[in-house]
Amino acid sequence: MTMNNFEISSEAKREFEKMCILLLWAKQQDHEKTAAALINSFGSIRAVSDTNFDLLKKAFKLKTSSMVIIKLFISMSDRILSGDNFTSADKMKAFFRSLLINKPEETIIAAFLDNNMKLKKLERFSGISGTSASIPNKKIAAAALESSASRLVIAHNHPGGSSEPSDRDISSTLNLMKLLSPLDIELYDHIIIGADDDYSMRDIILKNKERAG
Amino acid sequence: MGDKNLHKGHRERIRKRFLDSGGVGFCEHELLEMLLFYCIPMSNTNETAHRLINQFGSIVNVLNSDRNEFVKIKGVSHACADFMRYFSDLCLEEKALDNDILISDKTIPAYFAEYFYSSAADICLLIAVDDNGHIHSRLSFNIENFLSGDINPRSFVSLFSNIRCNSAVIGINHNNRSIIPEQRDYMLTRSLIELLAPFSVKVEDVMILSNGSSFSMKKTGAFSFNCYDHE
Repeated sequence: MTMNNFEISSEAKREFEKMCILLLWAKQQDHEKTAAALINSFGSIRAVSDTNFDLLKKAFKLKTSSMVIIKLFISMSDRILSGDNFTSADKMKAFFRSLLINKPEETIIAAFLDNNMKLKKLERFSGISGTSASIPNKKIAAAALESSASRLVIAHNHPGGSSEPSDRDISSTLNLMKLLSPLDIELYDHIIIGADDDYSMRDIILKNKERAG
Repeated sequence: MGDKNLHKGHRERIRKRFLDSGGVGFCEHELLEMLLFYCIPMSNTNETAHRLINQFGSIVNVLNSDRNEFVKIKGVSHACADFMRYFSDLCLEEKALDNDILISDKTIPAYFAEYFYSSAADICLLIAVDDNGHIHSRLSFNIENFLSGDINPRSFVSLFSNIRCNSAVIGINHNNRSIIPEQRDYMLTRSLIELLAPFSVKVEDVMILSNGSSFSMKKTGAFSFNCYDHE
């Protein structure tokens, strides 16, 4: 059985790919076939992680080391994505710095949040080597709608450079604000991670909001 | 060869303990020790895990650490650093699921919707709810496996071994199908209620999820839960 035998969503395909990687690390025999069978039956890595292991051993010949890495993956994801990373500007900066500091090219990360600043989803938009990453506004707006987010924080890095926003950074941020406003989604902040420091564009966003309001 | 067997035996034991306990009682360095099994073959990863936690403070900080700082720790290779970074990047792709919610008529449909998000599988999720209305544990299962008797009933009952856990809520994923209950949804509901009732566990509701909409079998009266009350 493979994931190509029938129509699948892009999310299911990505779950299959991630499951393949986990099973490969665990040296699971026939890791592709097993990954396909697991995702077909349970739909997500999280659901496999929450399933009875005896059944998985019997029906899918899942190894102990495979189940452990699946459970560790979900446990670590929950730890990284939960918590109070968005309860203050300093925590947000620290969170994005840890994600972006080692990236050799400009990369944009969008954090989709609910009204209580709890994270619903993170999404990464890779930059283009050698040029500035432009904010893919439509993609971000679509992802915000899909995750039912009411707030959004984006961040990108300036590899090896200052965290000061360029004119392009400011204009694309304001364009994103305008795009999100009719959708009732607030662009809360845009954080730039520089080589040695960070910059929050929240003041710029608030000033623009006042002017528009 | 003797050393290899020693490590293999240790790794198997710690993995088994992890699966049997559901991860309860495992401290951060033990979780990290197990994660390092996948990038440091045939070696004691316990001390390396301790060194990493001591240096970076938490397992999350280890996963997000600067690669150049990471490889300075004794016992860690560049390959190990690459594995941890890649593992962390994969973790970031997961949807955040708020497991600290207070179970209510408002929160539980949203929780199930998040859990089943875009899943095409015919799965159910049983949530064991504690006395404070929080999620104690979860069990996902394929509905066909359950109705065929492939799942040991002990898996369900053991979720409620904590004496402060006497309620269950069940979500059924209909994916793109209608949210109206199907014959097997009724069979599942009846079977689970009858399985759990002798252990004083009450099934509070069964919800069907499809395309972001939810259907409560209790609220709609589609299933009479009251006639199964043993009080």
